[in-house]
Amino acid sequence: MSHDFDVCVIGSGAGAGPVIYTLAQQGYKVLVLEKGPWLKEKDFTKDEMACCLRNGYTPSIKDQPHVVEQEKDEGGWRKMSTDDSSWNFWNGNVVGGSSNFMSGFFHRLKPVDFRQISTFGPIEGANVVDWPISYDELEPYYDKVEKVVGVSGKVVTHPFQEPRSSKDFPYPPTAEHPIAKYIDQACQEIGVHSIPMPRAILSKPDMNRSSCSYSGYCGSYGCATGAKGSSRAALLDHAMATGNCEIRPHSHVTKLHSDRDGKISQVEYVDNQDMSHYVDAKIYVVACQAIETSRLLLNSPGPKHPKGLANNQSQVGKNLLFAGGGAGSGRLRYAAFNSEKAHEIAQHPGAFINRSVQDWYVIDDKEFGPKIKGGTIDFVHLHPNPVARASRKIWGNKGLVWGGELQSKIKAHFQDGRYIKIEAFSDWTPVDDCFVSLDPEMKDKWGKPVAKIRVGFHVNNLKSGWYLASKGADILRQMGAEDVVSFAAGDPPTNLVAGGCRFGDNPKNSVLNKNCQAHEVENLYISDGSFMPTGGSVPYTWTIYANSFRVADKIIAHLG
Amino acid sequence: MNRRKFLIQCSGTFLKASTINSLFFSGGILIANPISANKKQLSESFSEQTILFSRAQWQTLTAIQEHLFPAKNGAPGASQFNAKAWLYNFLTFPEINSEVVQIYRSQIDKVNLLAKQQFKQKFIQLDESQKEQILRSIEKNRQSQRWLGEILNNIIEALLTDPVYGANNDAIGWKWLGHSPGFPRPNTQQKYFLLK
Repeated sequence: MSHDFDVCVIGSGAGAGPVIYTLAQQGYKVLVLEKGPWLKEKDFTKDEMACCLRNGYTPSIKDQPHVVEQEKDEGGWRKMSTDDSSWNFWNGNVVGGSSNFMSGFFHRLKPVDFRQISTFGPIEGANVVDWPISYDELEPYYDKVEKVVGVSGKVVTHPFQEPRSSKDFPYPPTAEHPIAKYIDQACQEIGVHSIPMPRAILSKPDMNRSSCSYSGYCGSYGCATGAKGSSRAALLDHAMATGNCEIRPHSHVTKLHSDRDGKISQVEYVDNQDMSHYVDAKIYVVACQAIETSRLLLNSPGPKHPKGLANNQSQVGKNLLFAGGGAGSGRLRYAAFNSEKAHEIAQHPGAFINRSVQDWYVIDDKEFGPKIKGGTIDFVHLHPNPVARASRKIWGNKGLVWGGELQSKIKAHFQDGRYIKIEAFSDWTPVDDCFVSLDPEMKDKWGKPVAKIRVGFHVNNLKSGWYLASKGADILRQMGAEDVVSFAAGDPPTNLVAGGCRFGDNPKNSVLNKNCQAHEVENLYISDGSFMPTGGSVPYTWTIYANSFRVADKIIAHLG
Repeated sequence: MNRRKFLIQCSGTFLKASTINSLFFSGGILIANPISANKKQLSESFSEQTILFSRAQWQTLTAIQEHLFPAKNGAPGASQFNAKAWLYNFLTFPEINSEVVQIYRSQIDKVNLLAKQQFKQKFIQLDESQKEQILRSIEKNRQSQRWLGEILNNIIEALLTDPVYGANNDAIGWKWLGHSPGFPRPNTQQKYFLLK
């Protein structure tokens, strides 16, 4: 039977890019359907209105709402739609997806992350499982991402350094701010290992992309030079150059139609005139980011899948993951240091801090309790966005702050010192009460039920998050930072999401097999973060990229 | 009319303070470009919906802005970085939210009512400490506190967003704080509502 294309990929972000790139390079005909517009380097400016204040890169929440359910203190669930609270999980609907706007703080999962229940035992009230693959099976693909997407960094010895096939990173670390060496010094004094943080950012021009220009506005912003390893700059542009790839922006897939054999027969999508189109392929790959991938499947019932595509075991949308953890900050006040050091600290935060500590990737602290999974501490600049920073001064302990008092507070914040932020990542424990379903009432502008995200969390997330953040705070204090605070964070970060269609060997409690092919739908692969049964205690993007390269090889084997 | 086209036609004019003033003196009516608007659209724009505030209400509102963010100790005052036009933009773009405008009207009236009760004068006639007293007094009410917080947020936006949007005149806000913007900065073709 002839098809329009060999592979139809839905989405174009970190989960989609490697599949598109690999298959196009191997001569297969690939169609990419992306809901958002195709923005390129020339369109990306450092405009706080666009990235952050007016949501220029995410859909209108009036047209495309989300519904969130949060647990009430007294029990039960409070339901909020984006009409009520504007709390939504949109991260970037453009060609290349949210990988355009990531900071690119790249960490690999470690061998222990693939064996969490074998290593630590079950957690009561949680659905922890081992992965159906080992670290060793994914390692060659982590290595591939370093070379193809472009990861800069430097390998150092530390207690939890994971095994590597390449001795070091293909690109040297990006330029570092003087604060980095003071972190190194403080860590040495305390007796912990300071790691230069790997970044998905080119430190020198290569692969038709320019190097970083150190504007200081990286996370939340698109990259004007091409240095940031977005799926678009690193992979899709190269896929287009093969001539085997077609990307259709403004193409929103509304349904995956399936036949009586349970295979996908065609994809239905709408363009920006709201006209419907249909296309078919030998293989379909869904990579819309976890929440929307599960939602698309649930919105695609068929003759063999009455509860949604690939959902006969009611596993789609279940065991959704965010990132657990904590946060904190401290300030290096210029007046507290001699003028030479003050001048160093005051340097414009264009060069990065790029420091991490993973000494507590497993927390084995008798005073704290039995051995548990810990995680990663990242030290980064406070994001420089001026409106965000100044607006935080409006609220004080006794109400609003305004007038001369507000102006003094804002001025002191901007001029008296540099802030260092702690971002602590710990596992988001998979639980029954964290899942995606279809809202029974709310619909998007095309009349489709929207995602309802129940964000229940396990108290375990807070324990390790608190511990890690407080260790970060100790390091900041050792540096002479003032106003040091640290706390655990229970609320799900909207930009770190995975799970919902986890892979596994048992079709009764997983949606995908170990190749990320749907158990129930032979011509469907899911290559975004949906596949992850546990998150690990690192940001997800490197793992999503690596696994997508792995899945690309499986799809090629399938196509023959 | 396609909303995007409407915005582009307005975006050059609606953030110039002088234009806004002339709109206010004519009752605050938003006038669409007569060349491309058809008769129906013209009559829509002259409807009740597009009249925001009376002249007296605008005067009170800008006095509140100036009190919340005065020209003092080197800091620029709200009127120096186009905070009034920015607030107008916020309330009317991409479309007027009549519920929100109604809240603003009733809060402004509440401020003047309290000023009359306590000091027998309009808010704009009070001295600094009297204005402070009135605003701190209404702040005790939660909705009024949220309203004042929103005005403050709006002022901060006018102070520190990219001057291409018509406020932060000549980067006066950035300069006051010694703040370095990122690069590249947006040009007039790259405003956020033109991206999609």
